[in-house]
Amino acid sequence: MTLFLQLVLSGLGWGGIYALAALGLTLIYKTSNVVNFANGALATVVSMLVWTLHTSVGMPIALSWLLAVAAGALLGALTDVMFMRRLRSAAIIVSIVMTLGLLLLFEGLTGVIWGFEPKAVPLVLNGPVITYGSLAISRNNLFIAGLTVVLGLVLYVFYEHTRPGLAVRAVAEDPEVAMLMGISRRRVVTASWAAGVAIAGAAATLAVPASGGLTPTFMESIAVYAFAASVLGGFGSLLGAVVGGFLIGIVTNLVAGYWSNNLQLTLVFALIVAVLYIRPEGLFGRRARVRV
Amino acid sequence: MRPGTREVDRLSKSLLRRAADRAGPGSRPASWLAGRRIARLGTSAVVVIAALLFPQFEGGNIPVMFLATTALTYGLVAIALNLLMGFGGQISIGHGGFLAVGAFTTAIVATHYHFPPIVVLLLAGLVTGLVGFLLGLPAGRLRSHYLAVATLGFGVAVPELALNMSLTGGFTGVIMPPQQVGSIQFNTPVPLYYLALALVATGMAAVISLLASPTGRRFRAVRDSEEIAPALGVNVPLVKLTLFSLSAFFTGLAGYVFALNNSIVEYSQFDFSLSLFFFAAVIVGGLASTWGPLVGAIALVIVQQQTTSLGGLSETILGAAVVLVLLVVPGGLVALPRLVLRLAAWVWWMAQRVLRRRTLPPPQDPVPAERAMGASEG
Amino acid sequence: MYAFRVWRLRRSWVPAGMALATVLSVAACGSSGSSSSGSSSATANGVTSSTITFGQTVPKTGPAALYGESTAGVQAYFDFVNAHGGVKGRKLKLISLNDQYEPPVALQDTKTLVFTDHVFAEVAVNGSATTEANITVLDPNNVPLVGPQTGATIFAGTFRKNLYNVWPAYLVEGRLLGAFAQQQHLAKVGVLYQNDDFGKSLLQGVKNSGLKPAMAIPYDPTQTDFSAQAAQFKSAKVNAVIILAIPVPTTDFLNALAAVNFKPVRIMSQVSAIPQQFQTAPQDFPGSFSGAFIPPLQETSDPQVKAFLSGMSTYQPGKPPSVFAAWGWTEAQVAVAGLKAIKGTITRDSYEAALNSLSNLATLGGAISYSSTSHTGIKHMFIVEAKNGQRVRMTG
Repeated sequence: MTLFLQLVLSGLGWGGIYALAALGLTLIYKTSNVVNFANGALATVVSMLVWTLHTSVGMPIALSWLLAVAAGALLGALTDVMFMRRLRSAAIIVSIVMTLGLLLLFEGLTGVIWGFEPKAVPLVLNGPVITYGSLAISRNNLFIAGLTVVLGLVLYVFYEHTRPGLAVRAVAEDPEVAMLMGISRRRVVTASWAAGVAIAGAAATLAVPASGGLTPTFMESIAVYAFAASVLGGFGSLLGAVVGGFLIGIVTNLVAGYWSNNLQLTLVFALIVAVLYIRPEGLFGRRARVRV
Repeated sequence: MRPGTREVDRLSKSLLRRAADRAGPGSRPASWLAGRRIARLGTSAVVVIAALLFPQFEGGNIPVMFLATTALTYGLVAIALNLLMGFGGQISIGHGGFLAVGAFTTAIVATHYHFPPIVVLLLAGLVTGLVGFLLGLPAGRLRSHYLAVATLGFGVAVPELALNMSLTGGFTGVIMPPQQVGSIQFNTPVPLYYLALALVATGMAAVISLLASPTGRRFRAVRDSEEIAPALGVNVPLVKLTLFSLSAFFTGLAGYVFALNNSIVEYSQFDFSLSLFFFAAVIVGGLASTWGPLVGAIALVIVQQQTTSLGGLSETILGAAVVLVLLVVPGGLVALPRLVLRLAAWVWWMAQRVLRRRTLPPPQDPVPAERAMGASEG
Repeated sequence: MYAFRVWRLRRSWVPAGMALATVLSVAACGSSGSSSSGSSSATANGVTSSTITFGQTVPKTGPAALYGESTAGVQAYFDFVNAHGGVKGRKLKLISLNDQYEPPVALQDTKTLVFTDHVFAEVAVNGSATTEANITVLDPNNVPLVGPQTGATIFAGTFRKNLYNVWPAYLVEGRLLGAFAQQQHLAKVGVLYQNDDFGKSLLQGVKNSGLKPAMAIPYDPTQTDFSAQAAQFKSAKVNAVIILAIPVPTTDFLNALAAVNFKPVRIMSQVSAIPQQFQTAPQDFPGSFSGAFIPPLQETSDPQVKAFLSGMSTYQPGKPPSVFAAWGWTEAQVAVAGLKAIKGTITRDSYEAALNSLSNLATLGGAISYSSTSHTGIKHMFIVEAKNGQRVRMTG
């Protein structure tokens, strides 16, 4: 039983990271219907900035984080304005193709600018492991899980109980009507991109210590889990992103502990296919099937 | 005219449809670029002859032949992917997984059984086609982005499986045994190059004749509008399934050449960046065009080869190329000559205006959108 | 309209015709074309009147990039020899290519080395799986390989005409680790091993010592998250964990152990017990034990160690004199000793005969002897403890 509980606890760290990454995807998807395949690469840029500011420039880690996440928001906004906005009138598939091109572009640029040597980013919370009986959880993992829940709640409150949040929901529901009501679709979408990249950037930077080092491509495998979390939770749902992320983090760790660590991606792929077959809209999403 | 913002909007408005409909050869001869049909045929002939004669000059240069065969192999995969993406309107970012299935099938079958090479080749195609069929089953009812995520999962799951099964050699991989027909050793550079060339040609021929058939029209119906196609009597899930299977089959054939070319098949050769490479090759070359995938694959292989010294540079170029194609040149590389000619014509016209101070009628738009659509429905 | 459709069909004739033409070309030119693939000719075997060229494939990037430091060791020794007149009046040259620890890349690199660069022999090739890929090119072309950086049983336990082992066999090292565990009266021992020839050979060696592991968990080299394995070992309450892994996974695993607050006795392979671990795994690396054949590099009373350190600082001043460089140095010593022992003209066959004649050659890593029927490497290993930032030899 303790093995089970320990595995669940250890899975909370990764679960939080997947959930945050999925949240970033969801924010963008909600308002523009685009699955941003480049989110991981953009997030990596944020992590690289944290490393540069902290290690090369020598800033304290908290300030590096702040500046890098802000830069990430700016990067997300710029990406929308420069690349995605022009394709708004075309079919969605064109935008998706564009995000894939941006994935290549940003991964490549990150490699050219920062190189492929793994870099270290310090843990947010250091210190002795928190123990409870024979169970243990690192402070950092606890922080990640806590941050995810808090952020999820904040976003929920924002969307459901504030006026700007209402505006965003309006654009997500029906862009034309929203525009008729005077809501600027452009600004909402750009803001969503900014927020989406910023949150994903936070997720990526949190994931660095457990990933064996910060490299330009280290988010590739994490992105697969993030997508799986979105599929499981339902693409447009914030709650789904959080629940899906934690579920996937815990389940994959349980499988790794009880059976084998080796087929994680295969397991996730099977999970994606199963969800898409049985209930494509996921746990909390809607409108997934093609209907005439 | 030089593309402005609205022009870009119009061009990007329906990337797939416009690029496809633009692909008709010389069926609109009434333009001031008369004789273009001859130019096209001439170019094709030159390309074919050059491809056939290439080994006579470079046959002894092992690295060059390796590169050429790799370009052809990836070209075949790009042709297969273009069938799925350009003519079927489905996104796949997991074709590296299909190549892996084909290559591993080849190496494993060739190691354990002594079948003639043609049997091994066909087995590679059929097994991969079967995997494509299985993947296409649940994909039938899904929208584009769900399908993209599913293919992404597929593309990363296959190498992981390969790493963990002893059948596929785990971390060491499977060494590809020689393949011989009569006195021809297919694991030597020159015969392998010709085999790859023959397969590429066969693939192109198959795709073209398929698209000219009634089945091809059904494919295009699904691409143009998934929602309306059923009203036209098209069984959308069946079409998607067929496309997946065919696309996988041809990629499996490419896997045979891949295994021979690399002499070893191992999980690390099929990572996500390979799937992205195929995707970029199709888009950059020219989605839904005949020659686009092959041109794109060859160009990108050369780019990769030339930029290995600086890590990340090849990816940057690939990404920038995709972005540029989407924003500026939707037809891809194969549409560049026409674009350049239009630009040249515009410059010439402007020059005439300035020099002679006379207003001439602007050069006739070689491919007016409306006439293009009208003609192709012919 | 009908004509249009026929035209579309006719377009397929162009590529179809090309398919037919290529098939005919294959039949016509196929057999003659294959003769131009370069096979080793006498003049192109890497030996000129002034140079002898060796080739090497090592990882310079990726998770195993630390192994690339062996290049500096080889180069330093070659430079040292060149500065003292070279070998048989010729200077030694090294061409070192990056194989990224991936067998397919290693295979392509070896083809380049053999057919384009025309190297005389290979030295200090890194990795078990990558060496396997290399020899698929080396063996048919009769190219010798001295000092593959692996002790996997397929090399160390099987005689191969062209391959000369320098490293101790993993079976030997595994047996040492298992014997040590038993000596320390550790009742319950768990094993974490890499899921390839490297890890499996070591595991077999451990079992050969008579130790029966309570659990043996495999992992694949690209894995970075070991929290599940750490939890498993902890819940099984093992007294010790034998870690048969390359450096980066070892670091990640040690940190995972720290994260679940579990500190069994830690025993690892010499492959990953490197001083960097004091920084990267600060909680769980100190106090760990490992096998070794390269002497601890602070023992400067050993003349071999002194020569290595001075050679590195003289000829490769920017490069760290790490245990990886020490491997390269040792392997280069064997390669050069073989060259020096050649009688007559320098050919690959005379080189192999010379290597076979080496007996009790003293190197940085120990004594080596070859014969025409045995190409096993160094046989003596010992245990070191990670203490105070250094590897310290354990007595007894």
